[in-house]
Amino acid sequence: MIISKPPSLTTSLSDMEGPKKMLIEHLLANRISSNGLLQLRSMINSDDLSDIIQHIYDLNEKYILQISKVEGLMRIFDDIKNQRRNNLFTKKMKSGFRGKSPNNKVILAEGDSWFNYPIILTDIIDRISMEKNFAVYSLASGGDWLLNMLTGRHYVEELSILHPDVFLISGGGNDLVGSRRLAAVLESKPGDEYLHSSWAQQLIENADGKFIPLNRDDFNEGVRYLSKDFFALLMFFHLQYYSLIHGILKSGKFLNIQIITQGYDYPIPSSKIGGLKIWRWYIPFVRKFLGHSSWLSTPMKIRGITNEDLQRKILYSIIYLFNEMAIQLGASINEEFPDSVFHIDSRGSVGNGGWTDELHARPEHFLRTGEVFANCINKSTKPDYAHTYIVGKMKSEK
Amino acid sequence: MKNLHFILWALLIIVFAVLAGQNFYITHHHESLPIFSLETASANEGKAILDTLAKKNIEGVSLLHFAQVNTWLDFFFIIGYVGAIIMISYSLMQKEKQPFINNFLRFDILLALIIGLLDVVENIILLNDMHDYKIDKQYISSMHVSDPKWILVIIVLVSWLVSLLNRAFKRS
Repeated sequence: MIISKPPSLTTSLSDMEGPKKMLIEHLLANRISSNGLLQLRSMINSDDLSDIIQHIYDLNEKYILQISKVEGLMRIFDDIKNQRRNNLFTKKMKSGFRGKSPNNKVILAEGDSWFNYPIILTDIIDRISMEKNFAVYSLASGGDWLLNMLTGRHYVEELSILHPDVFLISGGGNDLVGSRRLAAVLESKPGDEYLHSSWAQQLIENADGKFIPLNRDDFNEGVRYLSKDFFALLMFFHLQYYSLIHGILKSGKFLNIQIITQGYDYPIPSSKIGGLKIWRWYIPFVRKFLGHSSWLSTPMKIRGITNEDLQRKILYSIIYLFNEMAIQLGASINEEFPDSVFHIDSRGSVGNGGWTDELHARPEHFLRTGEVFANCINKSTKPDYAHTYIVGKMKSEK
Repeated sequence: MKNLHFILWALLIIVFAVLAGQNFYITHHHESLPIFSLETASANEGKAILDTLAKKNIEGVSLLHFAQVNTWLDFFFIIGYVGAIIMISYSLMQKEKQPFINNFLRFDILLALIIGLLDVVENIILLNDMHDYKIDKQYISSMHVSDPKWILVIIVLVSWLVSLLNRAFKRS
């Protein structure tokens, strides 16, 4: 659905060497094979990534970076929280934290609001930071796009300064749903783009359904509303994550670094503010003032998808695929760099009633997810399968 | 944010110091300002306290006037302590792994705001009672807002204590 292209884009794509250009065109058209994607990721560079995203978003890079920027009050609150965390980090470093015990871990976190929810909620990094043997330096910003993180490259500077034992990354959610982008990757009528994505089908075939069961009926119904731009974006995430993680490991500067990804839970679209519940008094305020319904419910309604059950199924298929993309990407990198990449799988952990707003779980769920991260970092429990830790449902909800 | 923290703590400490100074001045003259008793008094008891305050004076200034100044200053004290409760609760929350206590500390933020509001209402009632005070003036008791305020203060303090004990217990 490329409407118009800035002249520079056409030039840059046509200037590319033959096979790469062809593979990118196939990716953008959602007609690339799994092997083609593997081939492409080995030859792609940051300029190519920039060109791809401009085609997916139908926007020039300058404008994409402008809409993906975290600005205003959100930026201020993000910075306040990071400043607090990073002051604590510096304090620990000054006290000789690193030499005190081999169990002490220096952690660098880059990510979005699951890692930095700036007010009221306790987020995942808040929970991780509670561990005495962790010193966490945070670059995470609520509302940040993966694209912005990779373009800003602040993590690169901090990696070389901190030489962390662990690098945590949470990104992609805002690239999908920020600035009502979700509407741009959905079809208003059921289609068959999924059937054209052999890569996405392979993700589902390889998914280990024993651990995170796949509800095929819900998935099959939801996936039919995903457009070719969605699959192109998912492959773009794959390339971005690959470029980020492989780049860190390949540099050879960060021996034994552990990289941990996460892939969110199935969110519930909603435009309801909800009544005042005294114990969860903050929910109506968060929903009223912090973007609730603008991420999922409204974009879906813009595309004419008004049935709540169908909305839920579409998001189920998106999150299922996103997690499988991250898990299988980690697995392929682990073949080259053993035991380097781990994934925290939150699918199904929050449940229908566990959300503060459309995208963010209630604090008790974030605390639990953070605990699983801590277990993964401390290696206090084994992965549930391969290199994946499952958060699972709360005991009271099982 | 650091500046805001500093301003709130400074406000709290300065107002507290001024109130303590006033109390010292009054006790130095062998008198007392029973503000807590006044806040929690019934209509009859409150009226009796105001009668006493109106009759007594220090160097020509009525104790009732000191009580009024104290109540006006309390508005600034409210801003300071509500901010302090929020900051302390938030800070404890950021260290609290146990979900129930973590949620309770988040609930304290709401309680802090309610406590502050109740205190504002209480001060307005007291100032109204003290304004142009005469023996036969109708007295409205502030106990109906003061008692819940103190109950909420106790709940907040208990939650802090529980959080601190929980962490100390886990450490040991």
